[in-house]
Amino acid sequence: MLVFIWGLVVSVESLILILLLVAFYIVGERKILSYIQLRKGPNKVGVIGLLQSFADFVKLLSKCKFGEFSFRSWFSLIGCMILVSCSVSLVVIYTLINSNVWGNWTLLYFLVLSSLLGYSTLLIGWCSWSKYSLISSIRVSFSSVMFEMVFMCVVILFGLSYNGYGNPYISSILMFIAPLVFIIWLLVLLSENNRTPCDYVESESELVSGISVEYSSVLFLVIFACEYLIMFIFSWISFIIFLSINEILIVMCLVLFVMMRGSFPRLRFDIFVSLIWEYCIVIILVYLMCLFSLL
Amino acid sequence: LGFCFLGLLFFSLGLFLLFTLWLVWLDLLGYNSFRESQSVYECGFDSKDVSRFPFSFRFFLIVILFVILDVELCFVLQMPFELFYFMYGNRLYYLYFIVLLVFGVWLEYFNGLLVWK
Repeated sequence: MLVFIWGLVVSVESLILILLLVAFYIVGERKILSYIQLRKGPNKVGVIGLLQSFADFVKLLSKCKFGEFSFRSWFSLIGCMILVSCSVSLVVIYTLINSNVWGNWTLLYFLVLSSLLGYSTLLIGWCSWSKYSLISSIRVSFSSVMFEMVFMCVVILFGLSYNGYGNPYISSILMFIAPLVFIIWLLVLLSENNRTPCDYVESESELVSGISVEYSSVLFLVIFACEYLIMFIFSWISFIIFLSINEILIVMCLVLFVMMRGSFPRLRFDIFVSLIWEYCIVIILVYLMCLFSLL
Repeated sequence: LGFCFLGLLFFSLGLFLLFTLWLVWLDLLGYNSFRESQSVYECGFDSKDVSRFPFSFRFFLIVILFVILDVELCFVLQMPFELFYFMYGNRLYYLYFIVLLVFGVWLEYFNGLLVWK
């Protein structure tokens, strides 16, 4: 019983700290993107704009609220619930792995949660009665399905090398065993987190704000915060699976996401699909076969 | 097992969190709502209907391919647990299975099913 209370307290603390990181990461992203574009980002609110996220938070909470379901079905709330539950469970697993508590199938929990996240974006987009959100939710769930494929292969590669799916911290040389897989994994991670060059959620306002077009104040905040939280957790797990170092590489990975957003245009959707299915899956399956036959 | 329990606990906590957020949000209602903000984001007309989406064959086909590969990989997921106890007889069958998996992907590639077009 005491173990549960300890776990709860530690997870809540970790969730608060990650949300704080998300707040400052949003400001950091806006400032880095703006300096790439030779302008200053938000620099009026805090010292040099550092409190911008908190100002946005207060603004979003006090925006006008609509209780009717005339532009969005009630079913969309279930999508938001799934999103929140999955991201909170991801934070729980993050906390427990960092506290050296792990079981035989720790990585498989990650796989399950990433699959459930695909449902959430599908529901959120489909249940809004707007064609923009429908189009973007179909595209996003499709790319999330492809991410799941690659993630499953990576988990199997990890399992073959390290005798099970337990503690991911023991994996220190997987990147050197399978370097191409790491490059493919970074590309697919971009598509899962809906970052340019694979952002099909809103396509930089091609589909006007994508799946969250009919969501105002609180739910929009929830969707937005969960997206960045998932980005943090997945960049952590990717550097834990491949190398065994964490803190500085997570920050580098997050900055890398921002720099890629500022540097590359979006991949055309059919090019993206054929890239993943014709090249990446083939490479990963060849690695799987080689690793199996070597053991 | 405690791990599992904690996960479920936090799952439900997340649900409860979102539910209370929603209740708080509904509670602070009372702002006047304009007619435009009550309809779907579209310019020039009011649509009362749910937007329809024509069925796209390409999405469906590639998702079916994903499902097949997913199920095959679920069988392969068991492999690391047996591998380190020197699976004698099973090793050949695993090899056959993985070869069949890769052969299936190669066939799909060869028939041009993986391309979007």
